[in-house]
Amino acid sequence: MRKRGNLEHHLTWTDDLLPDNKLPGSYALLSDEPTTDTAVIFFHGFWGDAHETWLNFESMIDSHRTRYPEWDRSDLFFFQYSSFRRSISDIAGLVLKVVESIYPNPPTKLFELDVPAMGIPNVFQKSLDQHKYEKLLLVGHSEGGAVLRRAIEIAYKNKKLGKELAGATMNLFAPAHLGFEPKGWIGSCLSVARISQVAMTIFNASPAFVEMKEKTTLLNTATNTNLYAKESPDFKALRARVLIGQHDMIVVRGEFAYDEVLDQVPDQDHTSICKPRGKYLTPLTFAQGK
Amino acid sequence: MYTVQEFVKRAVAPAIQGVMTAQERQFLPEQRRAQAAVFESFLWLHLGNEVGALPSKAVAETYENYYKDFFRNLNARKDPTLEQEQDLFRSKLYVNDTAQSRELKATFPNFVILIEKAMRGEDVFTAQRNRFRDPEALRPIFKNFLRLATTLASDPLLQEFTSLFQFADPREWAKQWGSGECTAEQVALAEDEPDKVPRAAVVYVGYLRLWSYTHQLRQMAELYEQDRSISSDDRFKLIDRAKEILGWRINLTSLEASKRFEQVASSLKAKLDQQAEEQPDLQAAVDELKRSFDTVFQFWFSFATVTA
Repeated sequence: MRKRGNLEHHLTWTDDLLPDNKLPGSYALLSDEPTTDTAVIFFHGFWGDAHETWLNFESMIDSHRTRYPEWDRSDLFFFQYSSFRRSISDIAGLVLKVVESIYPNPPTKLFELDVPAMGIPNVFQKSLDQHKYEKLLLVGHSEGGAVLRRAIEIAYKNKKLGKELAGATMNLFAPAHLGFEPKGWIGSCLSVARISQVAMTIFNASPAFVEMKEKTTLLNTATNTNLYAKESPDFKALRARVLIGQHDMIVVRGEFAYDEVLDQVPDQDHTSICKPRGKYLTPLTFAQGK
Repeated sequence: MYTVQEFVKRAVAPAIQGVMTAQERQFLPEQRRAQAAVFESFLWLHLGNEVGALPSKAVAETYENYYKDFFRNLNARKDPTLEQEQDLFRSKLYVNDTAQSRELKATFPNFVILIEKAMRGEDVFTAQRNRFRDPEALRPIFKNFLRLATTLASDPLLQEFTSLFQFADPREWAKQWGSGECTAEQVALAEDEPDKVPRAAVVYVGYLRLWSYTHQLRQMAELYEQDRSISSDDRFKLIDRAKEILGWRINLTSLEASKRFEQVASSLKAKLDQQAEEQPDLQAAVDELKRSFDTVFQFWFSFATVTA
């Protein structure tokens, strides 16, 4: 085992994780602790991306590792997808493929060097130890929560997937069922830039956008999830842990009947809730299921 | 270790390859941009070495294998007549500039010393250092900046935008931009099928991506300002250096670039206004977007704050 002081996470791009689907912008931070046993998979909302939504997680898991040592044994996967012209069910299907490809046995290629970087001495071409996960943490923000819920709903009915995902912990930051699809130049600006903070401000400023896309899918997911959670109390992933900021002005919230809703967090809003910074370190514990 | 491998594979090698591809295509704006991209990647290597996020032996090998020839090729053939003439007045010429080296110095005016040292084959890693108090503490932040910079550098639509906006001559720009006419749908489509839309749509996407990346950088800078575990002096220097490294993509010091930036911004704002005119209940959304463009891009023209 390496000395704790030397441990850190290493960036690796995962856009080629799935053989049939490119996932541009997706990446992972792999721990060089050989006993790593936890996979934490992050899902952004419809108008965010894998980078902006989770700002600061990347650096704080290493800079605050003395206080939060559980991150040392965790690999983080930041999934990026485009919601433009795609249904929630489509994205949920993709989510399940991503989860299946990572948990419990992540692909060996993530830890090995498939193509060595030319010109770098062998001593620096070292691969990481292959990890095998025992714990799965699914972390969603905003509509990322809706996508995750739909994915779990599908998995519940699938014998193999259901077995694998039953024990997953679902941690949702400000889950919301927005699914708005603004048209015209506003829509293009938002879909190209994917700045959730700006998108949320715009939604709040314009009641015209309050028009739920795929309302039926979302309502069905809510009904089914509540039903399944009642009939299978041990299926942990059906009961999400929910964290919402006191200044969250998003009206279409997405907590379900069997969720564990934590106390509202003072001074945080819809987009700041999932970004650890300064003295606000709650996201580092919440994402770990604590 | 893994970080340096990913960096070489994702940023360094593609940047060097980009110069060769651009030379083959003989499209001057692309050549200029590709050259700047190589130098940008070198600056990240330089900074990564200073904060210790990239191991120094690997850095030295990377430099040797990827950058040495690049910098050597920036030198013009020595001109004995010119050298003799110079000798009459002062010591030997410091470097024999080429059009490319002059261009690079103009693109990165704050790193002229580093460029010239590299061209002369001198030790570049001791030059233009930031002299951080506690470089080790900056490693996680550096890695975060590096991730964003790598994403930015490998975005093909942003590359095309930068080539045109920063490096194209006025005729080329006019040809590609036209009058900025295209539809909102073409802009959205440009992400997936850039060859099927007017060039103006690609320019709008580049502008919007630049807005998005700048927004992230700005947020990162703001978040780090609250991190009391790092000395404010070091934080200021790191953020400032990151801005200096990335700033060439939005260098408005030339009148031409500044004019183009204004053209794209005004045209996009006009299109948004038109949408609000057709649907008055969208006015607040449009105002918010326009305000965000202005405030976010201000990031490049302001300095990081140093808290006492």
